[in-house]
Amino acid sequence: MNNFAIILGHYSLLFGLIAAGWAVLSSSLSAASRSPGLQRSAERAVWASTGFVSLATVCLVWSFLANDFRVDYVFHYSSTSQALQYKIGALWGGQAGSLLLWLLILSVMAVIMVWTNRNKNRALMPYATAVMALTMTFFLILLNFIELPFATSAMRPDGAGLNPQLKNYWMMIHPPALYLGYVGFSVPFAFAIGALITRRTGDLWFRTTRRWTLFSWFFLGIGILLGSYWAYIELGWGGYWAWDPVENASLMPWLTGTAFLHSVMVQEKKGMLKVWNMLLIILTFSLAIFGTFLTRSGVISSVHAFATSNIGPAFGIFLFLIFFGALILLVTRLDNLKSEAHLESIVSRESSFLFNNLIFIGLAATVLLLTTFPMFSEAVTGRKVTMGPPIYNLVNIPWALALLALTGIGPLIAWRKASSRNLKRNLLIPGLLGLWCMLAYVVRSPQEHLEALRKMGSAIGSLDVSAILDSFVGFYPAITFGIGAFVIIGLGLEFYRGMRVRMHQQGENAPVALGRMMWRNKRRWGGYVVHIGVVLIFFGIAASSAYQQETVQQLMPGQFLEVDDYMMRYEGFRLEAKDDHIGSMTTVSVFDRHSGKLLGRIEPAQLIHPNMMISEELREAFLHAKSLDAAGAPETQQVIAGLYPLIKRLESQVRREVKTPSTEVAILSFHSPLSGTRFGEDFYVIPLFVDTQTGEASFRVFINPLVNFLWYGGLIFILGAHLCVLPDSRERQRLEQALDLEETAVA
Amino acid sequence: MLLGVGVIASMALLLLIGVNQGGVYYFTVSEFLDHPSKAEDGFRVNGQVVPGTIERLPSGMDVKFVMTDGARSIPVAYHGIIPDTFVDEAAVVVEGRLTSEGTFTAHTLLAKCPSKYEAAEEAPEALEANLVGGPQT
Repeated sequence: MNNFAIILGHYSLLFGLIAAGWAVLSSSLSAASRSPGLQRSAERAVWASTGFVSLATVCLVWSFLANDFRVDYVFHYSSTSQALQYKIGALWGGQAGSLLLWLLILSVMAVIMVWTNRNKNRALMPYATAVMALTMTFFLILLNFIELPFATSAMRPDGAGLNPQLKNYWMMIHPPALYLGYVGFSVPFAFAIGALITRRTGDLWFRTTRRWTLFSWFFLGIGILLGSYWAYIELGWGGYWAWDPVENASLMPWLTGTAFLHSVMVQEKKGMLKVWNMLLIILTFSLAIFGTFLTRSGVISSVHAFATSNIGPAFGIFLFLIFFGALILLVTRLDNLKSEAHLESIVSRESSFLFNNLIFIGLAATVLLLTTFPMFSEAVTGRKVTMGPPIYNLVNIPWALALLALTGIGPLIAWRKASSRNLKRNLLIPGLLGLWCMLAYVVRSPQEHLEALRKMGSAIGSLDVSAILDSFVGFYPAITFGIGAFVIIGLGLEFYRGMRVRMHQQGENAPVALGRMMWRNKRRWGGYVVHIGVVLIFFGIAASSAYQQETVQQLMPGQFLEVDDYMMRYEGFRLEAKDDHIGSMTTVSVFDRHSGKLLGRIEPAQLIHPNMMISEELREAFLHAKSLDAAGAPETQQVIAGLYPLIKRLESQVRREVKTPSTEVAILSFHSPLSGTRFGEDFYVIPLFVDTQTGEASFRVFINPLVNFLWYGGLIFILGAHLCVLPDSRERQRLEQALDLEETAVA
Repeated sequence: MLLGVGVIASMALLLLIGVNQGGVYYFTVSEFLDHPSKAEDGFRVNGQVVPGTIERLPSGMDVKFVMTDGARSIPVAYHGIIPDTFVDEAAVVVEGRLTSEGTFTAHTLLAKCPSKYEAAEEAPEALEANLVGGPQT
């Protein structure tokens, strides 16, 4: 096999670095000398650098496809038996490839930015280009000198293979989605820096980049949801969020990004919050870099900080420069960022946005503090102290609920100063109905709430502050459903009223009126749709965390277990040998406990991936079993069963495990609204152990009520966000007018 | 403005309460063994699984193994869901307490980086070495 791809990839990265370096230099010179020629050269260099980065990526993918195990990276994350999609997905299975993917996305975005602005924003572009190219340069330095994707060793017969947990469809698209989100914020950030340096601090910088912001925010949100979905269906602990540092890392820029999306509306409409908006975009981009840093450096011990490497210091320096550089720049430009208006009333949309911002920032700060707490405590006291999920929940849930209320109040309250008429018209009915829902919910399950009340009483009696706070937990579901009902009813009324007006004025029928109304102001209605999605997500979180049920039982084939209002029968098991695993595929039937009706049949599996590099004997035995299974031979079961003792024997010989376990949970979801109280619920089965001789198996079963509302909410969120980014003719006209004005001002 | 300060202040208060009640010490095996009050609950100890010590019990929810930080080691007994990432040489974090028999009884087990995966870059080579040397009997 020749070295062509390796050498080409290696040098592409080097040339990419040179081109990106030139782009930084040339665009900075252009900014200083106001020379358009130098800026053109910088833009061409961005194109060139992106070309080289793409070429390097193609080379690495090629090495994966060609099973070139001389490349260390390929050796670590691929193997000959790995399915095609995972050979490609293995590109971002490790450190160097992840950085390369990040860089590729960044480069492509830089090219799009340069291309779409080739005749626009000429005053800001040199700075924006310089910032983008600088970020590219940083990643290229990492890939050229610290974390080399094309490092090679002697040829090896087979690779170690991708971690089986990552071999999942969702895991393949989760990192790219997340990276699109992280990286996308670089464009608004670059424009913000340009605006600050040139003192063109109007609203042009964020209006030009509004779509970028929405795009990144959208993908970051989707990336987070996909990550939790993957954790839910793959990690097998019945949950989807654990306040793990890596999860937090993606949540923080999303929180500040959401704050930014809202507060720029206030600047657009009122000319207020200018400093605040600059601060938010600086924070968001810094947190995006910090998130990448946390994920990839392993600074803080995390279940899936899959990386411990030497890129930490470089990231630290880059982050420090970005954040403090931007902050200092911001301070020197405070004069240009004076507010054009004042807050007229505390009861107004402006102030509801301000609250929303404060809470988002507060949440992000809390998460940041708790996530980095071990680092600080180690620096100060020499001991690492970590913060567990209960603390995150204690601090964040009350504020998240306040935010939930704001998703309803914000859209319903008037700008400037809300009149009592406005409040009465928009908030009274939804407020009362929400309250009614909350009370109805409390009355529906009186024991649960009496118990919570008693707890609270005794906590107040003993003046134990943390116990008082803990006792609130019993009321969270009721509060969440009450507030959620308020938001949905309030927003629903808005939709209904708007539709009615159109029906009267234009004589349209209901669906046409609704459609046209939303089409005419996509930003507004799209935003409301997103809010409704968020409410559903809250419902899902509240119910599945408060009312999760679980049981663990050992069953023989044919035996039953009972949990909640379900009955489960363990039907039996079958051994299989496929791809690179062997395993026991069990079948369980789920029945309604009262009526005995069959609800569905699912197949949880307990797999193991034998480590075939340990012995030739094992490899041959496995391949034999695999071919028997594929042919459907009658002795398959026996042969596969024989592999287990073989592995055990090898283990005692080499004194280590020669298998990687892989538990495949099975979920019976109730997606139909006709399933009554089970709507949105999951019957979630984890096979813990299966005896390959007797078939005796132990299962852990979770009932997760309403958990699917998270994913439903996510889908509605996607819908709403799409509505927001769709091209809007009025929006474009306004932007073009503003741009024309700016150009004449420059000329 | 006042309300903003109120929001931030109450958040800080909640944070303070939280941090006070729920911080968990994070130790290496040696640090933990040297700590005077190790029989109390609320310790997180991190280390590596000593290869060949994993003993999985048929329940599928019980496992015994030895954890080391390179210098000293400690036997661990865990009851609960065993993550798939828990394999030889995996970096693990356990939460629990030391029993009188000298075993660390864990109620939480986090495992990261199976040797195949990222952190231990040497691991696959170690496997190869094993291969070359052949199984020892």
